[in-house]
Amino acid sequence: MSGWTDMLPHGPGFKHLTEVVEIEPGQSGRGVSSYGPHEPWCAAHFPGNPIVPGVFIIEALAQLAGIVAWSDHEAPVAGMLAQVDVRLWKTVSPPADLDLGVRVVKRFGALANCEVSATHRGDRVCSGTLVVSGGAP
Amino acid sequence: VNTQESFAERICELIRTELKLDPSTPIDETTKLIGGDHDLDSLDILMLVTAIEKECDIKISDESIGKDAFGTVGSLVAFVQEQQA
Repeated sequence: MSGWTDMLPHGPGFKHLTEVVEIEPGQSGRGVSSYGPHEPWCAAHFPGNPIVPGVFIIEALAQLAGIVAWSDHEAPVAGMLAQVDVRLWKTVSPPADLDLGVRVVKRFGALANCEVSATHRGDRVCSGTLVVSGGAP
Repeated sequence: VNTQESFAERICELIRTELKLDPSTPIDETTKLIGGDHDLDSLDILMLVTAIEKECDIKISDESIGKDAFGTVGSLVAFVQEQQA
């Protein structure tokens, strides 16, 4: 689905959400985060054994959560990360396409509490909750 | 301990957990949640409502969540009981 990632205020070097593949505005969504074999960080994280940083996976989930949570608003904004409570279950080596899922559990004011998950080839990589706030960075 | 006191104590336990307070922190129905020592912000309220829904197996509509319900523990207990009714 084209267009949704354009909501993200991030520059090209920090768009960890590659694509939104399904969205129910304000409720839930699925997306993909793709990493190639020659990402700039591969040589350092870690030398000879590249692993997708867990914070990148969390960032990709937060970007999808921001899009999903505020996509039902008249003037949607991607939002900012306010709280993280996730577990990282396994490491992922690039190249890799991570499948992301987000479901909005509860809202209060400009905040949305979201259940999130990331899988790689069907294996659970990350799961938990994120809170995103609506508002420009 | 009557049912009302037991329910209020469950809410107090959730507050201690969600606000990451020491388990011995004194909280009762007169404790202020907005203002006072704890002074919940929007994120605290969101997380507390999410926890209450899970603990009490109820659904609280987003529109019904107002700061009036979070004046004191007692007002929160009454609010949750209204939602259960």
